[in-house]
Amino acid sequence: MRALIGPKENQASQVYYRTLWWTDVQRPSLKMYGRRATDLIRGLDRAAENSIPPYNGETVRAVCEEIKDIFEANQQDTGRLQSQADTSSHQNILHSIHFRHIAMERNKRCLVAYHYNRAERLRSIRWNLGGIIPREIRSTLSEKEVEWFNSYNTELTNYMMELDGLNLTVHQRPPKEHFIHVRVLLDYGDYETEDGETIHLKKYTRHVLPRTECEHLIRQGVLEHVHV
Amino acid sequence: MILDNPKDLSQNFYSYLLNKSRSNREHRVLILCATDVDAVCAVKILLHLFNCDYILYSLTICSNFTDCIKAVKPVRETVRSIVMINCGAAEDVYGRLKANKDARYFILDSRLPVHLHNLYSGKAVRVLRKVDASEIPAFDSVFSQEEDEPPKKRARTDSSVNGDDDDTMSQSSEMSGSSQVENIRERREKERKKAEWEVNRKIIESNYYKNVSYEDSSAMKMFELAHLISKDDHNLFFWAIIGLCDMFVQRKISSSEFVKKSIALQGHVIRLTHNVDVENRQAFRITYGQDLALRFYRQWTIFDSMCSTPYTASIFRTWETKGHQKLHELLADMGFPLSQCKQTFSAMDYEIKENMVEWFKEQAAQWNLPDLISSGTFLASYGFNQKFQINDIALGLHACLTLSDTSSPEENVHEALEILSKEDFKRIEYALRLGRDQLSIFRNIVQSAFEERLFVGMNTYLQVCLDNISSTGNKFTGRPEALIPLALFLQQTYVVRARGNKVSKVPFVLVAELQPPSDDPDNDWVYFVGLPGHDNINSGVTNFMGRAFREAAGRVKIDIEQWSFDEYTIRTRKKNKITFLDALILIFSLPSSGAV
Amino acid sequence: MDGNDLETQPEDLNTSNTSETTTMQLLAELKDIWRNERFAPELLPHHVDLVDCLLEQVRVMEGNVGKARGKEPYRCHVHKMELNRIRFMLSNYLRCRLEKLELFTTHYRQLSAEQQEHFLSPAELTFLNNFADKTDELLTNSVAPYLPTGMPVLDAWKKNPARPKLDSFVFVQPKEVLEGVILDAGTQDGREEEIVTLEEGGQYLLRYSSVREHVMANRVLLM
Repeated sequence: MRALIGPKENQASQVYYRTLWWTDVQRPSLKMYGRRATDLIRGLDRAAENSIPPYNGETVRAVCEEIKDIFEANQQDTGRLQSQADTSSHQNILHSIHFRHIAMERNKRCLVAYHYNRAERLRSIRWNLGGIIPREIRSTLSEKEVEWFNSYNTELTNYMMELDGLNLTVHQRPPKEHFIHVRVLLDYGDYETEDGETIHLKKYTRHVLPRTECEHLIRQGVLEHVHV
Repeated sequence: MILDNPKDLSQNFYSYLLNKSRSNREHRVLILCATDVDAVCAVKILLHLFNCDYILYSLTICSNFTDCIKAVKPVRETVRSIVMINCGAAEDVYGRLKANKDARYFILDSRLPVHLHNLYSGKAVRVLRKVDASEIPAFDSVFSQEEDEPPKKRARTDSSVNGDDDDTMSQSSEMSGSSQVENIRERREKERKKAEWEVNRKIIESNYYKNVSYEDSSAMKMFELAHLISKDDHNLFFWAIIGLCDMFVQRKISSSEFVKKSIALQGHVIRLTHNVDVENRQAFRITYGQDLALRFYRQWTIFDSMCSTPYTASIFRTWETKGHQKLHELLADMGFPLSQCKQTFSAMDYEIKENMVEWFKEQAAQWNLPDLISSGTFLASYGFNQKFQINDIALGLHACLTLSDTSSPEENVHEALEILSKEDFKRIEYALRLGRDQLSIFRNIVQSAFEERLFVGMNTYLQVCLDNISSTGNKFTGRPEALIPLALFLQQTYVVRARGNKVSKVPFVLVAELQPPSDDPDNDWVYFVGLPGHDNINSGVTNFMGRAFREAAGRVKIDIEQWSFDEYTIRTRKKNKITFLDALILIFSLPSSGAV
Repeated sequence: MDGNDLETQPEDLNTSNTSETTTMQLLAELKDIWRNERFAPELLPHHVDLVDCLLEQVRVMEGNVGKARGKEPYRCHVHKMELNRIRFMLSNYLRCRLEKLELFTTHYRQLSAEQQEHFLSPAELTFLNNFADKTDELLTNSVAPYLPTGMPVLDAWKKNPARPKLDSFVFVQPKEVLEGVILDAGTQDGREEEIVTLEEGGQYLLRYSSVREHVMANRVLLM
């Protein structure tokens, strides 16, 4: 949502939003533009901070349908404007065209915000969990998002290659100790460190490992940091 | 190989591990830790030492030897050093764990006797304790050096000894008469000697393995090592004392032994606490002195404490109302107002708290309670307010390890390690609360044991069967390891109440059917804990019940399993329970049973 | 702690006398640049040579530590800690820059070519372009199939992209005397412009826009 902080709304759209809210509260049966779009955004808002709720393709398509409808209605009205010689009702038609235009823009904006926010969350997944999407998350993404993730992954890797292979995702906290004591929370099996040493990570055992090895395992929840 | 004194420990154990880890970056020590308080304290000290020198380790918790085998299996090929704390002394570690040939085993166990294979395996197995050389059988008497030679060869050598190599054929036919007879005689002689040697070996081994006893807390040994390499501090000392007190409280060492060891530690007490800043609120100190031998009296009311300490509970019979009255009388004699008795210790009047020990001393003589005041207990104090008896802390940690039957033993050990981690008395208070809960459970079970007449006593044998289903509300909850202190409590109360000479010599067996864990409802094990006679526990502390169990099981041919590292704790299937008990009774009623 | 252990290395862990002192200098420079980058609301000019130099140094040191493995473990340990710290600083610095790029994609894309060259390293530029393209693709292609043909999706967004807030306040410590710093320029508060002189070593709380050029030229430290 950060990218959409910026331009101030103009008067008309402010009035529109307030009306929207009012109608939602008072007369939920009245059909207003932008309801589905608000649903989209609310869905994301409710989701916990680092999670991605399933892709709401249906609502997205519904919003697009609405935009189409608005666009066609506007087309019709523009046609009417041009055909009609009588300028008395021009003002009204112009107002309704303007109103519909704002509604359309708002819908578009909600759509962009929805997708952008999801992309941001995906990005933080890449930084926290590495280049492979876990299966549970994979099922909540749309195809395009998966493509985007893969290409982001490639770009990031290429960038890090330029840096002599410095892996930016590893050193995320200031290092205090070279070795840390960890307790194993899940049965992980054999784990091979960068030095080539294989350690058997069984549940409830405790080990001493270099910090760089453990960081991503701690983030995944396999290990837990303990103090001596 | 036996590493006797601390100097040996530091050279052949610690320095060895240190050099190994320096020369080989991938060297990792596998630590196998048992689930008792002494082991937890010893591990804490050892991990502290390893941390100072950046020695890499992997720690696994084992409740019995099968767990040890499972823990070694995945790293069999790569492991080079295995340290076993309070496990493995009684098993043939080299033969059963089967790690690769270069692996070295270090066994730090307070149990005796040590398995003979461990003692005689040369450099591969190093036992870190003092072993009385006179008690170990000689190598030749238990291990045979000879190899059997096939008969033909022997005949040929005989003939070559006799001289002619060329005419063996003719000579052998000539010698067929006399030398063959000689051969046969020699062979028979050798076989007879071998059979005699076997019999002898069996006798020696059974005598050697007869009695299980404990000596030297592992945590103390680790502390001595730390002291020698100058890495000790008051935290390590605190942990070591907890280990020692645990051995005393669980009756693994006698009180005289405990007193002897405590006095020997006075030097450390003075050295490590003299420079503590007295004005610091949270300063941690350890002191040694006279104190009441009542469990948790500083956290509980006097009354509760006296009902829960086995000593006073058995003398006053606190499970009966008469006992309560007697207790009240004693307290009244001492000058405690009734209202004060019902308050927790911290809420009592300052005067009473100050003079309590004195008053108890006077009354102790009158009421014939010699053991009420212990001549020396360790106290840990945090600042001015918080004082804990380290015996209580040991009991609390034991409860932490055994009270909950829902969490696994490994989780409990990790929790105990966390409790010891910081000088934070809040965590210690939590452990003490668990200890009190456990003692309350024991108290209730003792009460119901007397009310429901669960004690089945014969002249030669005493048993209590705890059935989780039928007892009215005083169920046993916790892990099987908690059965041992419960058994001690039950035995003490019975013996002191019965007041017979014979009763105190009679062995005691506690039989318990525990609630099966939720993830394993078919689990129908019955647990047995065997204790020797009460006198035995007070003086020499040797436990022969393991052998008795094995003999009984052998007679009726049922399978028993040792569920912890101690021989006298076994379990078997429910269906075998009655047969096994009958066999046990039979063994003990035989006049000349080898067990006693 | 920084340079001390590097100074007392034995021969085998040492590269050469000149590179020893430059490593310390490099680290000090990196620290300043890193701090400024963290606290500035916009992307600062890139220092790709510094980064490359340090990466090279790290690689060499790592090789040396690897060779001297068995001999003195404590020293190796300390050196490894040092390497980890340098790597952390570099990672954090570069990550910070990447985050700013990802946040203000359109804004940085709209800069002229020379400006881009000044602020972004070549690798960052490639990253930025690819990232921008792919994100635009994602946003457009997720909805375009369902919209009337030819309707632009991102036009409103691109017209008013998110831009770094140059008016945000920062704590400033000048490294030398700065004259002619203009405060409150062009804000709508109705206050008049003031021109002040900042002392060396003093600490001030100002709008970033006032000291922007000085930050770029590395004459101040942001705190």
